[in-house]
Amino acid sequence: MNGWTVDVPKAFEETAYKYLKRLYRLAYARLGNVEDAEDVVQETYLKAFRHADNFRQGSNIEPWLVTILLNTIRDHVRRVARNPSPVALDGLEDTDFIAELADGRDTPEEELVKSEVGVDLETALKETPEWMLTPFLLREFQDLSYKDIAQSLNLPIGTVMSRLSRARSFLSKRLALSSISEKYVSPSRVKEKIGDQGGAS
Amino acid sequence: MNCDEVCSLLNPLFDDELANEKASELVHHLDKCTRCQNSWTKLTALHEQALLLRDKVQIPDGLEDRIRGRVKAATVSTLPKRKWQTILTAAALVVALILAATMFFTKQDAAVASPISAEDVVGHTVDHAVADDAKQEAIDVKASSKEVGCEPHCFQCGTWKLVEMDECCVGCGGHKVWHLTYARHKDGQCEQVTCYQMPKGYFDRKTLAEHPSPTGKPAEAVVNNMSVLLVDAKNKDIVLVSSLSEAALYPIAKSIVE
Repeated sequence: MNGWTVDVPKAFEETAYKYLKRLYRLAYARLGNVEDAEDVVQETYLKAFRHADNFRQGSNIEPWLVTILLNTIRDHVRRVARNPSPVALDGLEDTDFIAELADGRDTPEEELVKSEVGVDLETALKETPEWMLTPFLLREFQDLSYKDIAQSLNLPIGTVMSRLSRARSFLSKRLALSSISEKYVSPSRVKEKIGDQGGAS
Repeated sequence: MNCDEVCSLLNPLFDDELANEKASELVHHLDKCTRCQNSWTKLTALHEQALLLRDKVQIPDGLEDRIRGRVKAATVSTLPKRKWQTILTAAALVVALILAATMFFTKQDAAVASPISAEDVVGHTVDHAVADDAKQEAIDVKASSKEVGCEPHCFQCGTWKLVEMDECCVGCGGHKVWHLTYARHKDGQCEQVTCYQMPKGYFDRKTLAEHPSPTGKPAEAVVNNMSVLLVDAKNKDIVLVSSLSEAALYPIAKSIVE
């Protein structure tokens, strides 16, 4: 028996909807606009319910939903990329990526960090390469454990750790956090503080 | 522990992913080392900003209701497997009958047997490898069609192009329909088939009335969201309405032009 009876999908549906807010926030953070975020979240739920049979009962539903959402976002981004605006194409024509690589010039990432510091987090996230942005968002926005992030992204935990670390380092530089004057708070006290603010609503 | 070791473990410490013993060692070092404290402070500052941003993102009003509406419209997809398979089996039989009738009335070569069988449809789930092959074949078809002067045709825009499972008709507006169009040169003639699929947007009767399909009679057929329309380009008519995946749909569409 595969477990899904007529009643179970209803329960499954209700459990899945509990994560709507969290999924929407993640989609918004990745795509940066309300319409696209809503589109991909709707698509995600339809896919999830259509393939509810594939979900293993007893496992955590959130990483499963997150995987579907990330795949949907990826498809969406590809679709948009296949129809780039003329402006974006003009920009690309002038860029000689090969020459950049050959003469050891800074990577676009490094140039970005040098170009402007002190931007806000929303702007910085838009500039963060996808491969390090997603682990960051899954940790900071979704509160997922390393294990769940690894499962959602189908990556080894070590890779998740290193990407997360790269993301934080990149964002700290973009936000000019090196110039912050905040006082050191010991880890034990930070946990209490996070406990007050955090929570995955 | 030296500073480099501590710095390499600050992220897992912050994320509560370290064993207690290791965590205590790090905290002990942190409380004394200004350099590491600076790195730690950056982590906490970034986290606080992330929390602020996260809480700033507001979910659009009525989003859950809209999703529930779409899910309800696509209820057939969440039926228990056994029921679903029964529907697909019935659909497969209907397809086979329609294909047989089409071939008989159009007096096609009897040697071209119906390539569609129940196995082609029943239990067919989205298989990305199959879908990719289908897309690749569509691209190959495009290339071979060009050689003989055939170009795939987009029904709704009226322009000749291959849209390959993509959202089309952005140009003609209104029709939020996905469709795959492809052409094949056969016996000196260009033949095209277009598969319409509507996984995006909510199609109700009103929307359909405002944006009728090129065949002029889809209202009954596409009222259920997630439906797939298979259109016979030659007769400009709908020959199948189903909820098959694109991977399952492709061989059926292909069978019509072969």
